[in-house]
Amino acid sequence: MMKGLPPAAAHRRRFLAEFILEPIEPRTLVRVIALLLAGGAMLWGLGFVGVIDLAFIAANIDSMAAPALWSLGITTASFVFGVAIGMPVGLLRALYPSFRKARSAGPRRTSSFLAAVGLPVYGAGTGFVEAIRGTPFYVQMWITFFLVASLLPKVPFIELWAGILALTINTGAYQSEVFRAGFQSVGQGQVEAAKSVGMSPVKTFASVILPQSLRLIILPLTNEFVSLLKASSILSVIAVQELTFRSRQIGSNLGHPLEAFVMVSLFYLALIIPLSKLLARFEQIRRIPGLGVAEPTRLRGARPPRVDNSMSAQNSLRPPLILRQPQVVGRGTAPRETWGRPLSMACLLPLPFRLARRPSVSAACSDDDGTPRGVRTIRGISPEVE
Amino acid sequence: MIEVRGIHKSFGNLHVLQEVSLSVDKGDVLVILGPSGSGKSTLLRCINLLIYPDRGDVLLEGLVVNRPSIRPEWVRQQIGMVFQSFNLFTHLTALENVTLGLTKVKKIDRTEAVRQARFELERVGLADKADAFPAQLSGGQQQRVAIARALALDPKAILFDEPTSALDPEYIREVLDVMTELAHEGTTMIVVTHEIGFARNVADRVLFMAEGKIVEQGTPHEILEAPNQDRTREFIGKVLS
Repeated sequence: MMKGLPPAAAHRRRFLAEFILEPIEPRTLVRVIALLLAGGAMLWGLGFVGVIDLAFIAANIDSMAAPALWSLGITTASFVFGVAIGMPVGLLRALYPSFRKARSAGPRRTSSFLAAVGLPVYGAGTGFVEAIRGTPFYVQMWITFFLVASLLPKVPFIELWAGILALTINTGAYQSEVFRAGFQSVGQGQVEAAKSVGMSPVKTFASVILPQSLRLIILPLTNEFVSLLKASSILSVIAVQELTFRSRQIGSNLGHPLEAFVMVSLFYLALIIPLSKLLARFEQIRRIPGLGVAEPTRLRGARPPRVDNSMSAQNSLRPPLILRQPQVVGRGTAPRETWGRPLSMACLLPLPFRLARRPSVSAACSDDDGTPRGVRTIRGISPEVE
Repeated sequence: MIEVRGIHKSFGNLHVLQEVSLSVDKGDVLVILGPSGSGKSTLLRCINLLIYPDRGDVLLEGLVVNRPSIRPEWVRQQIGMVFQSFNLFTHLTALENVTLGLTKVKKIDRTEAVRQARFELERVGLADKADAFPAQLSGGQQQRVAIARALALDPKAILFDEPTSALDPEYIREVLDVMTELAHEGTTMIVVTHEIGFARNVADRVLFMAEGKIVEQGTPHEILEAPNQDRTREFIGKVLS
């Protein structure tokens, strides 16, 4: 059925080459340039009418580079320490319920020590996650700061350590939820299969659950990193010398607060957008067929569904998504789709108008081996098509 | 080879298995028939200790294995299992699915494991799909990889839990052919299935279960052509019509 599959090893090795060498789509390039131009034009326009002082920005922008690196460094350190909290807590919260079930299922050798300790530890983990997710980071940071400051009054750079600790605790709780979801998303069937070949729970986790869940959580973890980088700006209030602190300094010392904050936004954007795009691309290239969400297809306007059986598609890493005997399951105006909605200006139009100009057909899609891929709604096709 | 003595299993108030006993000799093929919900899958899972029975004994070569002093991993390693929904490891290729047990459980050297895995894939007719991921294979091919995965550990017996129930009709044949071939090679097998044809042609013994109890058992001819119990006759009639 699938001819000329790439060997698995090549699939794994080739990602780096693709990651770097695969040419950027011209459409993407045009979009990036257009966005940069639009942003530049807006700044220039604001400068032109005298709202902001572009000369000030030009003169001071280089002094922000070092604090930007500080922000990045603090965030990265906290994120990495956060994994050390998030992974075990997520694992605990993912596995404890099934552990209890397994224990009650029969005469098992699970130690009674584990069972006795399990519930309090599980409860503590849950309490920690709920407490952190239920309070603002600003408050958590002050609590951490005063705790650290009163316990270790003589330590230099206390605000930096307290800040990193606060970020670590915060991201640890959020990451634990990401890890938990990742661990839980690996099917029970595969866990059973691993057991049935004689693998111990630890081996099952290491060889089956972990590799799959790590791939699945690349994107949510990216989101968490981005949130954390933005949250790190709050450390400026305890005088950590990061990006936002520096901009406040420049702004108040030199009397140009607006320019300072515009500069700081530019730096955050320059850090966050390329980073998230790179990681999204990394995730896309590392994706394994059948693991995780299928790639959203771009169906725009009146373009017919792509039925691609060309050699290149056959050789690609994913099986070609074709409409196999598309079975029309609904038709009409499709107020929402399951996935793959392209962002378009049309979403700004009033709803009735949008519905009126977007006829659509919903079709049940499957791969060529019959694996269902959900219902796809194709807009721009007249409902008569069948 | 495998013996089950009077096992009981309940999930909550549901008494899934009631006093079930059976035994399978080396090289025999036992087919278990029965309506859904009759406890067939639970019985299989009790045999390789994916579930522990509440009462009763499971014996492997005369040794009671459902007791705390015996590691369930040791038992499962010796009894292969093939699932209704294949349950291949999504992130591994067909070849890696087969080698995983060899390298992680049997601690076999990687190159040797690959050699064995290729041999098993060849046995199920999928040598050319070694590098495909499960999602790139048809249902029938996935199930054959799953059989190769079970075979690779050189088990004393293989349990099949409705191996063709999740397959499109066009792929059922290829899986049954592989299973028939295995039976002819003398593999000890316990097969839960609705494929009456397979039971008739391949089974040494057929066992009919309903409501958690064994209704009757005997040769394929006895059960399929001349059942003693009304319950069996009713079921066979429904399946064949």
